[in-house]
Amino acid sequence: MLDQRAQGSVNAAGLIIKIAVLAVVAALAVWAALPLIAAGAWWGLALEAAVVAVVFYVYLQRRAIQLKYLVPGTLLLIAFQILPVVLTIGTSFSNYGDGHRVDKESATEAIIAAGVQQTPDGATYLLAVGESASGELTLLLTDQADGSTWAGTEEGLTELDGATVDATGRVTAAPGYTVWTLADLNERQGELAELAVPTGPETGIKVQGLSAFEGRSTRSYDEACDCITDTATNTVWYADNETGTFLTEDGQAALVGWRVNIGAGNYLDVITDPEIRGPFLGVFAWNVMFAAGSVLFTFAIGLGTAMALNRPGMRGTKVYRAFMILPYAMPSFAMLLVWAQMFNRDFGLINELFNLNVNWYGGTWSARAMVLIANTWLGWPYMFLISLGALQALPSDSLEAAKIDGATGVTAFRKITLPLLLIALTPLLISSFAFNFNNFNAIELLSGGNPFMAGDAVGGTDLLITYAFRQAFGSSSADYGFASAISVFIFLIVATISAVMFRFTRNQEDVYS
Amino acid sequence: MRRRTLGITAVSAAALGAAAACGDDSDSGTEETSEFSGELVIWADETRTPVLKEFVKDFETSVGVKVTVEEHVETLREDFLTAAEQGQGPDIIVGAHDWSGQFAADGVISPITLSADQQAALNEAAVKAFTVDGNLYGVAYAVENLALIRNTDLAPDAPATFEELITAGQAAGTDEVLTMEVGVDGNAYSAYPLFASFGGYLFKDDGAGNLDPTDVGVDSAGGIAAFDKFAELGAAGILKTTIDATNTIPFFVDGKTAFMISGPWALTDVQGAGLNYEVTAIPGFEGQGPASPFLGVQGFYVSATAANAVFAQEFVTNYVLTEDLQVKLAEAGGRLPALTAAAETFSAGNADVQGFAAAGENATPMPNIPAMNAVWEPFGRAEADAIDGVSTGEAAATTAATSIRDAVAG
Repeated sequence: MLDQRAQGSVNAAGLIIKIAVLAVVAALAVWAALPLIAAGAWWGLALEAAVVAVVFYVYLQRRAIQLKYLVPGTLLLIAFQILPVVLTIGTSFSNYGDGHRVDKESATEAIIAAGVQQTPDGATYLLAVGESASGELTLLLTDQADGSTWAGTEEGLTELDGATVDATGRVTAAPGYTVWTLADLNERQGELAELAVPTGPETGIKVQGLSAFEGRSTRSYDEACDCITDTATNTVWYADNETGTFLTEDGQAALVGWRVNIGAGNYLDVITDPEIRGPFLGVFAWNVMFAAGSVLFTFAIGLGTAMALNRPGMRGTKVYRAFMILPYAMPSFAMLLVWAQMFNRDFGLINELFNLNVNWYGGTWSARAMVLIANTWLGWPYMFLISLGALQALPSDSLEAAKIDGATGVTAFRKITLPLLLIALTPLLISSFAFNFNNFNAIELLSGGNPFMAGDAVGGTDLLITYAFRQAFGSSSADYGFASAISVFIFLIVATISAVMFRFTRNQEDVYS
Repeated sequence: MRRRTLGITAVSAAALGAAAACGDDSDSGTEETSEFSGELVIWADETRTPVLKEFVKDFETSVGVKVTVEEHVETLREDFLTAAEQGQGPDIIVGAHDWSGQFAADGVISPITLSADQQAALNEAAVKAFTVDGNLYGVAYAVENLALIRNTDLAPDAPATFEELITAGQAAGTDEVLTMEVGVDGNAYSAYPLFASFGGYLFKDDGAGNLDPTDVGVDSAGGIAAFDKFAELGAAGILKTTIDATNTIPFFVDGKTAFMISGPWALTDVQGAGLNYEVTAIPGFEGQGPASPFLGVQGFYVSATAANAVFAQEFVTNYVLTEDLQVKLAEAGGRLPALTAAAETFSAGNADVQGFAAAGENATPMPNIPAMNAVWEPFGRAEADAIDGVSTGEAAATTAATSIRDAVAG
């Protein structure tokens, strides 16, 4: 009876929480749906509805209990892990990057807009907009040179008589016209953009803000030949839909291109480009060295300090522990910049303190030592924390048994403590390896890939990720398609290494358990 | 009974709150419709946002459009590109002129037409700086450049040549002769004045401000001479790769050097330290041309996807070009206005501004063509290599020029 009551109250509390959480989900769904509806993104809306439906179904049904635990994690995994990977792979097949950001329509518009030129000595006008009695949209213009007023329609310009102007000369009222207020203008500027007022065979009135000028639009797009013609320079750009560029017959590209799918082009570039292929093995070897070295040093120091502080009966351990966590508690961005400054050859703390004159950034191995030193300092408190936790969780009976059997400190550590620790810590060491394999910040903020031999694209301390970053963004301009292709390669390398290591851990567990 | 009254009070309080909320809503609603007929969105970085917020109020009242200035820290350029390529983002973005080449090639900004009078009122180089492919894409409001800042207690006279600067710097008896930002990767921006003094150029100018990305002049005769000079100055310990962004200004402030090559941003620290100083032009080398620094221009761009294009154009073409606004922006930012009349008003009686303006007289607009992105890194490294003595000046210049040509050719 009592039990049942307890059960009931738990259920009631659970129900309230459940209702509250689902209400929040529903509210979020509505909030997210509005912009999707506004943008007409029906597929996105369908997807969102499906996700919400799944969430509601899972938490309102009673049978599949496991789903209730799996769904949140799975949804977050899809949203924040799988989706970015899929998007990166998608981008790697496109030419997305500087010069190819927008769609073809916008690129065409931009090229045509760049062909509008003010007629030399052409008039400039103050602009007002009005509607004639028949509802025809009309530009009411005041010539800034002589103050004469004009009415511009699709037929052209006609002199406007009897207009009232304000102090600046702008038309405020005209017989036969309803003049728009600024509020009207703001609301209906779309209509204004569609109005073309010709003043000659090739010239017309171009509105710019609350002014207008006589200009010439020299470029036009022809759908038949899929080309843009510039009558002023007699240039014809033909659309090349393979590369997303408008090209003249002799291969000159127009300023703006658009985004297209270019198939495996980026991957072929990565594989065939001698600039990338050549240094790849060297960078890869150092990359493994850096990741392995970082893990090894941080783990060795972290475990050592953890064992030192794990002695029973030692005084002041809390103070020591607090101090040791400091490097981990401070933001690594700032710390890396401070370290970079400490390695300055002439004014840096390291050289001054030890009375050295090492050009840390200048030599390959000195620079590599430098990044490993700094990265070890930044990383060991983490290893210290997890080692300390694991040490305290070790069963004391096996150590006592070893002691009784006559194992001394070193033997006991090697045969008992370390193997037991590694079972718990190996997955963390692997994740630390994977993290350091792609530790972009440590290299970029400390050495920036230095040293670079004259003319080399790759530096002595470059990791694959910093190298890829510079290849994609460093030289001429951003090339996201290419960068994505390199990222996919890095992803494959890290995934392979991790898979091999986890296989190795599984074997190890078999041995110990 | 007690419980019940409490309940009633709670309900009525909620009702009151709801009524108050409704009241607020309708108030602000009517206010908006009566005063503002639309919204103009401007994106700017953290230093300009507070200043702009204050000055857009005039435009709000005169045109009746609500202007919202949104702050984008650090990533303004990337944020804008990402938003604009999807047809979103602001109507106007405030940024440096060297973004214009990239923005125009990406089709995210619209060309702007200024009347002949408006163009004539602006600093000529500031108009040139925003011109891409013969079209103007931005309206300038401020210019900035490097200059020589001198501690007048340590070196009383302004040097006429770089050689005089070295002699005076050595005579001052300080740790360093000069602080000029180099760093382990070199710094093309700060090295450019010395490079230009020897007649080096980055890209050939056709005279009308159009740069030819295929004609790279880093290894021209003048360019090689400049890199040889870097090697010589490096060997003599006058230029050092260990002087970088972190210590250029502090060393000068601490009196460890009499001379510093830096920009208007350094003045806050220098004034804060209470030093006696003077800003003058960077001297050229003896028998060589003037040391012309890069001119950096700040201006307003209109987004190609502006939702409120008419008012964005009106703001940029008319409001930005008023003397009053430019002077106020200059007072807040310490940079010389791009409008000539405003520049005169602002610099009258301000020796620092006059000094920077004098140093900028021969300034070259920093190239805005996308190929410029290919210059920074190789040029900087070549400078660092020459100064460190890792390679000769000529070898460094040739290597850099080859890398730049390769990168430009794609």
